[in-house]
Amino acid sequence: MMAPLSRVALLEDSAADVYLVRETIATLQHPIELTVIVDFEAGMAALEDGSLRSFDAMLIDIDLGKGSGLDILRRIRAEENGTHMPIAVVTSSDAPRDKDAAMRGGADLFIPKPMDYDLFVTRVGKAIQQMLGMDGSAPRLA
Amino acid sequence: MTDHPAQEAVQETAPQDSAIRLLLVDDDPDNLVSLEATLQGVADQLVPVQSGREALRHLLDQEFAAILLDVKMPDMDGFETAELIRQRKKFRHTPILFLTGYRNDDHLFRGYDLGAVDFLFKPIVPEILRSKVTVFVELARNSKLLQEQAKTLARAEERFRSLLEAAPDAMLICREDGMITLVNSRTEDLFGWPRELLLGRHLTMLVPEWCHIGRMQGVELRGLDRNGKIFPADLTFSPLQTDEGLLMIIVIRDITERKNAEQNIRSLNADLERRVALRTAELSRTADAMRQFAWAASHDLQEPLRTVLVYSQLLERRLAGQLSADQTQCLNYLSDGAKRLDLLLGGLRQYIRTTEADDRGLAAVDCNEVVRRAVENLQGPFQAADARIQIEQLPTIPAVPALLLQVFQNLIANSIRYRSDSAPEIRVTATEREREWEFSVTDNGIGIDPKYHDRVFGVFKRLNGSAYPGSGMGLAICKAAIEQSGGRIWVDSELGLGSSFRFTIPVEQGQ
Repeated sequence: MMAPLSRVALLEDSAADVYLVRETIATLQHPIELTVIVDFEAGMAALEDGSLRSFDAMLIDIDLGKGSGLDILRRIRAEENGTHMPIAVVTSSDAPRDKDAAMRGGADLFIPKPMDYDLFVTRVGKAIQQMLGMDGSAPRLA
Repeated sequence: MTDHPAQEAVQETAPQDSAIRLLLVDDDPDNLVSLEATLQGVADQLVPVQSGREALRHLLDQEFAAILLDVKMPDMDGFETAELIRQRKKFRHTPILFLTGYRNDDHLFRGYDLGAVDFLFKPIVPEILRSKVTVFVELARNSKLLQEQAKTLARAEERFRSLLEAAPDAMLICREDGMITLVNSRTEDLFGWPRELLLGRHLTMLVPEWCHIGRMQGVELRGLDRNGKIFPADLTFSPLQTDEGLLMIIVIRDITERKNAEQNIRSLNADLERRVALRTAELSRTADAMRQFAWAASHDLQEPLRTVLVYSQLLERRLAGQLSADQTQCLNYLSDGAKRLDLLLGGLRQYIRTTEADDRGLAAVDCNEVVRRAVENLQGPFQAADARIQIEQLPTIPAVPALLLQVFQNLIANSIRYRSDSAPEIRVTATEREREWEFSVTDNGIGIDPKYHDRVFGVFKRLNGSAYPGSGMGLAICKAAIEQSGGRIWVDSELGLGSSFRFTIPVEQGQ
C-alpha cells in the first residue's frame, strides 16, 4: 500500500547540495515531494505568502549569501500558532556557536554536512525520516 | 770696561736667583784680594769692584746682602757713592759698611748720616769683619726666606681665588651663624646680587629654608634670587675649622635644568607607556582579526571542498566499471587532493582553536590519565604498528586538559607515524625541575636531522612530504598549546636514532 505523499521544503542555494538531497530522497522508501527554495529572497517571499505552512518538514541551510537561514527559521517559529513544523538545519559549519544558534532559533535537528557521500545520504536521509515519523517514532514535535 | 762672562751669567739669572751676595768696593786691588780671602764662604757670592761707579752699575741689576765700601777712593769717594746708592729706593735699607783708615768724628757722622750701619777701621781685623758681615748675611737670608714665603702664600691665595671664581657652582664661605664672609662671581650671577651686598648678610637671604646643618651633601633646598624668583638648588655644606672659628664652605648648584630633565624623562616614560599600550592593543586587535580571518577562511574553504569531495565520490560510484585504469587514476587523484585539503583545513582549525585557548579551562590534570586517553584514541594506529608504550609515573599538574591531551596525542601519533623498521617503542617520562615539570616522549623512530629541529614546529611543515600522512600541523599545534600554557617545547634527535620530544609546563600558573 502506497504511503501518503509527504511535502518537504529545502531552503538551499547550492545546486550541488540540492542534487545530493534529491539523491538522498531517492533512497528513501517513501513518496516525497521536494520543493526547493533557491535563495534567501525566495525564502522571505515564501514566508510572506504563507506557502511555507503547507510543508510537512523543512531543511534549512544557514549560509544563504544575502541572509542567514537562521533568520528565516526564527520567523517561521515566531509566526507559528500552536503548530510545529519539524525543521532540520543542515549546514557545512560544525562550529558549536552555529549549533547553539540553530537550536535556540527553534531547530529540531542540527546536521553538519558530511565530507563523505555515503555519510551525507545516510545522515540527511535519517533526518528526513525522523522528521516525517517514518523511522517508527512519532514525528518530532517540540 | 766690559763684563766678563761670569758676570753676564749672574745678571741673567739674577731676578729669580736667591743667592746672597756681597759687594766689595775698594780702589786698591790688594785690599780687594784680602777682603775676598777674609769673607770666603760667608756669602754665596762676592762681587769685588774697584770704583764707586762700577759699584753703582752692579746695583742696577743685582741685589746685595751688604755693601763694603772703602771711603777713600779717587774720582768718587765712598761717601759720594753711598749717597747715590741711598737715592735709590731699592737700596735705601741695604746695609753699608764703610772701610776707613781715619778715626775721626766728622767722618763718622757723615758716614752714619749717609746711612752707614757700621765702620770698620783699617787695618781690618778679619774675625771682626767676618762676624759683622755674617750678621748682615743672616739678616738678608731671613728676609729673603720671608719674601719667598709671602710669595708662596700670595700664589696659593691667587690659585684659591681663581679656582673659586672658575667654579661652575656658586661657592660661599659663611660663619657658623650663617653670616656670609666670601662669595665667588658665580654666586653673584646666580642670585643677581653684587658681592658687596652679600658680604656680611645672612645666608637665609639666598636660601630662606637654611637652618644650621653640619656636613651634608646633596641637600635639595630652594634658592631665592634678587628678583624674587625661586629655583631648586642642590647644596653641599663642608665645615672648616679656622683660627677665626668654625666656617662653612657652601656650594650651591642650580638644578632647574636637572629637574626639568627629570620631569621630561618622567613624561617621556609615561608617553612611551601610553604608546606601548596603544600599540599592544592595536596588535592584539590585529591578531584577533587575523585569527577571525583564518577561522572564517578555513570554514569557508571547507564548503566548496566538500562539494568537490562528495561529487568525486559520486562520480566514482556512477562510473564504476566503466572507466579505464587511467581514468580511474585521474579520479583518484581528484579525491585524494580534496581529502588532503580537508586534512589541512582541519589541522588549521585545530591550530586556531589551540591559540585561542585561554586558562579558563585550567584544572588539576592527572597526566597519567591524559596519556592513557591519548593512547586509547590512537588504538587503531597502535595495533597496526604493533607499537608499545612505557609510561612512567607522571605528576598531576595545573593545565587545560584538552590542550594537554592534544599535545600527548600528537607526539605519540608522530612516534608511531615516523617509525623505523622495528616496531615503535615509546617512552613517556616526567622530571620535576625548579618551578616546572619537564615531560618527554621518546621513540625509536626515524629521527630528525638536527638542522630541521626548529622547522618541524612550523605551520604546515612536513619534512617527508606525502610519504607519511598528516596535515603538517601536529607539532605546530603542540607548540601553540605548550606556549599557551607558558612552557617550552623542543626536540632532541638524530637522524636514524629516534626522537625525544620534550616540553615544560610551569607549575605556578594563576589558579
